[in-house]
Amino acid sequence: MLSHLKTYCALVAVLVALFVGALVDSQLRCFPANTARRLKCISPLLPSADPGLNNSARYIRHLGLATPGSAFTDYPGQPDYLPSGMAWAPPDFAGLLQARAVPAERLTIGDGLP
Amino acid sequence: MSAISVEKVSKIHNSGRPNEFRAIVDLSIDIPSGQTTILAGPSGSGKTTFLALLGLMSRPSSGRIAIQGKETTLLSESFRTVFRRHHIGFVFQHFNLVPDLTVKENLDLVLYPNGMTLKRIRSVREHVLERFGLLNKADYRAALLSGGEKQRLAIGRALMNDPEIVLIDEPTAHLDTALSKKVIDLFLSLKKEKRTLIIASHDPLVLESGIADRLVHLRDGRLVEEAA
Amino acid sequence: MRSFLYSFDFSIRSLLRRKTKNLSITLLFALIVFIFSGIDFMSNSLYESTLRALEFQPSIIVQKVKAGRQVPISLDGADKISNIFGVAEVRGRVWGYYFDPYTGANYTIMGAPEGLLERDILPTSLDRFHKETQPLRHGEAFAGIGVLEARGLIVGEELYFNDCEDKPVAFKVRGAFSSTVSLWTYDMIVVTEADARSLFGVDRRKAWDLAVYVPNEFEVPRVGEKIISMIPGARVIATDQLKRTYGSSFGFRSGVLLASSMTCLLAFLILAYDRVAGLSQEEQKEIAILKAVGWQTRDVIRLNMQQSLILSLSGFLLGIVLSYYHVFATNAPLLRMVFSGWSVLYPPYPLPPFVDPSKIFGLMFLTVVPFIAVGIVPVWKASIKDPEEVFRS
Repeated sequence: MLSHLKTYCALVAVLVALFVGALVDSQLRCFPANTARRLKCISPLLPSADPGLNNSARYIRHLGLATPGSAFTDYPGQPDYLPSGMAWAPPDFAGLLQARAVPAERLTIGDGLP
Repeated sequence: MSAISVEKVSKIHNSGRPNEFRAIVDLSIDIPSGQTTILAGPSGSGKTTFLALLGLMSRPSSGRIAIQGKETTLLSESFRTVFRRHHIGFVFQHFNLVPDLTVKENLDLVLYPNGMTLKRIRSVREHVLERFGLLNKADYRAALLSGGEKQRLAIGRALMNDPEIVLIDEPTAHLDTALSKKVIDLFLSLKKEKRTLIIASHDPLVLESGIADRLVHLRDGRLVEEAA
Repeated sequence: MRSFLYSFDFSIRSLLRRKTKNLSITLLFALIVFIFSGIDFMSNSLYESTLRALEFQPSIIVQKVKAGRQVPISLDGADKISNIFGVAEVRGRVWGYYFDPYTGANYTIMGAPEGLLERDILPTSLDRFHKETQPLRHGEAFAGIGVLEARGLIVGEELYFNDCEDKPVAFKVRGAFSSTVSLWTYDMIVVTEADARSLFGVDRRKAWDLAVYVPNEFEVPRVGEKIISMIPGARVIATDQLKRTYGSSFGFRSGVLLASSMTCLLAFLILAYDRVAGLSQEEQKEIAILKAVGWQTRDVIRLNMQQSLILSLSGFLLGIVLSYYHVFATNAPLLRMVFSGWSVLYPPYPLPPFVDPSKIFGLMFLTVVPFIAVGIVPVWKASIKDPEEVFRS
């Protein structure tokens, strides 16, 4: 009797627990004091606040000319002028990067380790 | 006291359309409490429609029906449903079970809206299963039951709320002679409980079974003959 | 309460009778929520991260534009700006991009202000490895982890570049930036301003842009107007403008992704419509049976609402939980390309999980509630029919 209800409630309880866990996790991890302190330190050195993920090519630190909707494009709807383009990915350098990659444990000097 | 009092009831299907059909015409009848009445008549005589009217599953086009002294014709949909739930059990000709549900679940359906305790539901259900010999089929899906088992389940479901009035439509239409006799025996046991039974049937086996206190013949939606 | 529990139990059993169909609806619901919330999580997280960094950024950035192109700005302008009332500091910045042909990656190279101490940017490294504080010197660099990984270097080794005249230049890596800020520093190299000037060929009296610090944010527009009138051809970018731009940019990307998810949404709508709009003969008969055995219209509607709730709530929770772990735990492999652009040096994820609960509940309101609501009318229509009418048909 009510066995289906009990099973469903158990299932929903698991999902709700995961959901609440996600919310709690977001509160704990979203911007710890440590990160804030470090960001404050390096921030004066940044060309802009843009994490550089925003453009078609990550390395363009300023949105300016490349970003649709930007407050300061050269003209409305200006296409991306970068060689990597908007629709096509740049050549795959992954192999090259892998060949040159250094194992993380070698980067032990300084504070740059994940 | 009359269990059911019907006064000049008519039922017109598809009213105002080219296929308009008068299923019941000015029918009046009093059915005393605790008696078994058989509605006889050929197919299309209006037996099923009349039972549906008595079971509050359809509204008459004109006339009035009082059940246990309560005028039902003007009751709202919600009151009619609640009234039906408490006072009337209905056994359909085609059983109208939910085929994908188990025998148990089909029975429990009736009690869900009553707000009974689990224990009470279980006890009522077990009693009905035992009485109708369905204990060993309790977890079978209704679709997998034989005709006789379906009929017993349909009767059991009609009795779950312990109604005073039981309406039964063509109970032996899908059964062979042996099973029909068993079903008639069940009705006899219901009769002994002083329930008001109204059975629509044109099966001679039912008509001659001696179960009836009263035989009512219908033809073309009219009451043509009444015999004690 | 009891009848509620029974009907809830019955709702689940009813749903299980059409397993394939109802499971498809739940999964499709979860997929829709997964996509929509994933886009929101991702863009919100990037936007919030950007705003956090913006807090410490200059109030105004002044660029010089000639023929529609940005060109180096004279430091004479900096002197003029520093005289404006309300301006605390003006600094010319020398920075640029460096394409590294060996790795195919682009680095951001920044000229550090004079006297930059290691402890200013690498606070813990000082405690752990250095007894005394030394300013960044000529020929030295701090580098992002991405740069070191791409070049296969460790701290203490040398980074080689070609300057604007194609002469090789070497920088000794003094330290690497902390991984906690790698979102901003993964591809960054900090050298002294003089080194940056010689690398990029920028004159001593010029900078790439001017960073203007105005402590009182209400004075920023006034200061901006004065700068425009003082320096012809100046492009003044205020923090507020940047905020708006970041917002619209992330919004644009979200929009593109949402538009491309329309097919998915359409499939969901078709399934939902099928579920709620056209009650089959079989479903209508089942409702009539329920009515015949004593269920009221409200019981039948409640049953349907419970079924919709079960499907949509399960789908919603599943979608939102999967989306959260996809974005903030597994580095969003399905969305990263859209939001990150084409990059050689992707910063290591996961992103900081900025989640706005009101948006989650907003999404719930926009998905679960309509899904429940659209089913009510057809079921109500079916349940007010006389049972006999349905059986006869």
